[in-house]
Amino acid sequence: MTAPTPQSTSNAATVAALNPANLDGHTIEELSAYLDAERTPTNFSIESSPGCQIALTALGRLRDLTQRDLETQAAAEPAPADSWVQSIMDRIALEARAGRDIPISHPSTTARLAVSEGAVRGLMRAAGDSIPGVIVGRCILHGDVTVPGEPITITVDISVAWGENLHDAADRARSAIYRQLLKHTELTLSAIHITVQDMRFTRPRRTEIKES
Amino acid sequence: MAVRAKPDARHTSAAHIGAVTTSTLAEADDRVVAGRAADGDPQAFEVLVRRYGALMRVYARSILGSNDEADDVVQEAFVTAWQKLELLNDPGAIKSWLMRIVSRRSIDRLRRRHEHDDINEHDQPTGENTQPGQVAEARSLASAIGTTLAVLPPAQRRCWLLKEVAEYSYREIALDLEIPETTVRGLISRARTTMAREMQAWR
Amino acid sequence: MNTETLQARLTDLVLADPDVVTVYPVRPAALEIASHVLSAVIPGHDQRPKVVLSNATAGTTAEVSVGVTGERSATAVCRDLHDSIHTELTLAHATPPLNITVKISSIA
Repeated sequence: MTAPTPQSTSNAATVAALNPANLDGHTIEELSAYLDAERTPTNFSIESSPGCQIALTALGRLRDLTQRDLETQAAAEPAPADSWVQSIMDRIALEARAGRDIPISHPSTTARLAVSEGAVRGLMRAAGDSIPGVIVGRCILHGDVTVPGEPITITVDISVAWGENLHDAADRARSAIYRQLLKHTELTLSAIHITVQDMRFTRPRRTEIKES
Repeated sequence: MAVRAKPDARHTSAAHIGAVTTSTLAEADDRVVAGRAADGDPQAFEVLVRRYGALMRVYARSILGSNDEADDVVQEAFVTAWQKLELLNDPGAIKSWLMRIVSRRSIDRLRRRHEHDDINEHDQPTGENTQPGQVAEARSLASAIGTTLAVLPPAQRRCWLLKEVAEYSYREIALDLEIPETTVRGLISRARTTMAREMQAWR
Repeated sequence: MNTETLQARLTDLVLADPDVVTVYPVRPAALEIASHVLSAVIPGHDQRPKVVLSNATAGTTAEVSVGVTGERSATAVCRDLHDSIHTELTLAHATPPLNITVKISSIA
């Protein structure tokens, strides 16, 4: 048998903790029911027994073990078939997420012109994505975008590849987003906040072509 | 998708400025990917399908007890997830959110199978036991637990999974399965007891 | 000119703009089903996404949803489309006031 790892030690300890002999006269059934009663009303005999306390902790580990087992089973599954993935993608309505209408001004009073919030999010995403190493996550437009002239604050989550300068990447993403918003909308922008949400490790690639 | 595009449609997305490859996107964390999907990027959603599809399948299979329906249920869950994704406040919580959706879909499927009668089998004696040696030979304690879980009476297994994997409350389980909360607590308690007992055989 | 013909003409006009990539359905998918039912009854009913016209004694309404390339400002393209539709409707003697809705639903 290999040298005990912290994991295997705690596994062995978990098993031992639940040995009925270690429960000061109480049973696993009792402890289990006590847990599901959310430890109320307080059972002083159980609460004052070290063996029971250890056992209750061990029983709590079962959640972690169950989740771990599922993850292991999932990892052993073959990767989802492209056709299975595609049939999900086919069922998705891609026109969703239009969001609010952001007005565009026109001298005529009978004109109703707008750009959709969804279009603007897509615009911001593409702008941020164009910065090397940056992937844009969620973009939110805070404030009432349907009211012309209303000051709007933008928040953008980004992921930056390991090795890129974070401040630099965030600044460049901000500038690119700002330029596009200026070009395509009439929004009054108070601020654009970029949050680096994630720093990701990327596999080295032989060639990566990024148009800019 | 119903659009009328021009023959020389310039919206071939690979060519446009800022395109991110799917493999690059797959390296980003849940919060970024789910946030992007919530904003409407189907490419990001596909990353989520590939990232969590297998886990959801394994889970659904365990709840339903069958393979064929698990595939369907997970597909339905993803379609629902896409529709509701913008309502998700914390994109970082996407994994547990997906597990809740697949739980709900699985329960719906059970109901359609008229299995709600089986759910009240708490009166049946517990423990179909595992095969002798199965637990002892399990590669890890986790898989020993998995082995035990697989042979629990379905009602116990379902309540256990809903509580410990999908993180439902007792009350939510009771409401969804349409059984009393005390019954739920009893089923989970019995499941736990069996696992604790069976685990003693593991070395 | 009947409504269908005028709709088709306006749609062609919109698509002729070099900065327009696609025309989307004005209404969400659920309501689209009605138009499919209609096409079963009236052969030749054009169910592709288009400029949608409705006439009333109180004026004429035109609605369209488009995707643009992003080369020119979406704001400018949107105004231009409005103006083109306005001109065309005026030429077709559509009943004023001409209430024209143009929505940009995707950029690039």
